[in-house]
Amino acid sequence: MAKPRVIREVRRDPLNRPPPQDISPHPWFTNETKVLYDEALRRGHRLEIYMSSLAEEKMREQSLRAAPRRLEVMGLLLGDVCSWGGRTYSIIRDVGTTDLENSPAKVKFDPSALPRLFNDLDRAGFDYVVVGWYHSHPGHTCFMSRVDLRTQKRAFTQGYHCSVVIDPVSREVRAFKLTGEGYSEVPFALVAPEALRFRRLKPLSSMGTEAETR
Amino acid sequence: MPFRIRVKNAETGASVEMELENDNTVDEVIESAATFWRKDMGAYVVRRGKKVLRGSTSLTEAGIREDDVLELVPDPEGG
Repeated sequence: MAKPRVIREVRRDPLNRPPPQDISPHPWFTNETKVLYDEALRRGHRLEIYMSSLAEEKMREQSLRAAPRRLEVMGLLLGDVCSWGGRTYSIIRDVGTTDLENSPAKVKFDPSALPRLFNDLDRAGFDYVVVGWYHSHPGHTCFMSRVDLRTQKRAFTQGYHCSVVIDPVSREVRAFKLTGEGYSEVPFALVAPEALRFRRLKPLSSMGTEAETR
Repeated sequence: MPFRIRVKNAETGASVEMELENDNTVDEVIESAATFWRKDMGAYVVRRGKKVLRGSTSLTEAGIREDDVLELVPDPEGG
């Protein structure tokens, strides 16, 4: 019996689009994160991550609901990968989540509840890319634990992939990306949903780059 | 009789067209996609619509047909 054979790959090119202009910092930024954010804007640097207020609200509310029991929450960040002026950035437009197996120190999707996650993905209403993941550290501040770092290295290794960590108890939020063997914080901006209502110039199916397989 | 399906990688938006036989298994499809994209399959689940695909069941038993689209979805763990 023949093994499955890959015939060809179709890659998704980044969407060629200027970054959103009407942006704001997250109200839960720590002073340290706010300094990073202000510094990036002052130097005229574009940010690498933009987050819709819809996605932000869903993450924040989910983490706050579980905060009284100190339970971690988690989900996937759904968005677009964009490019402008030779720089790549991501827009987190929505999130997908489901029932969880969680404790104050660990979280993963409940395997029996994955259909609900898939329902969220299908209901996002756009041809998403999973641009990262989020989870909460209730009362533990925002950082990447050893488990978090392992997840990032296993499944989120593209340059645009980020990990958003929320602490709903101390009201902090930070985004991180892999840098070498470790990680570093990356400032992000909030964007009003109406600023993300753009017209697609081409159907997504025509935007890929085909590559012959090995 | 060989047939083709598409496997999408949710974390990049890329997809591959794959040629299969009816008696290939779900695991073989997953392994082929993982090898092609150099992925650790333990960090992903594979879905067809709302259903998770797992194991050694044949594609016929899993109901996979010509032109079906499967998707690799990250399955993270936080701590």
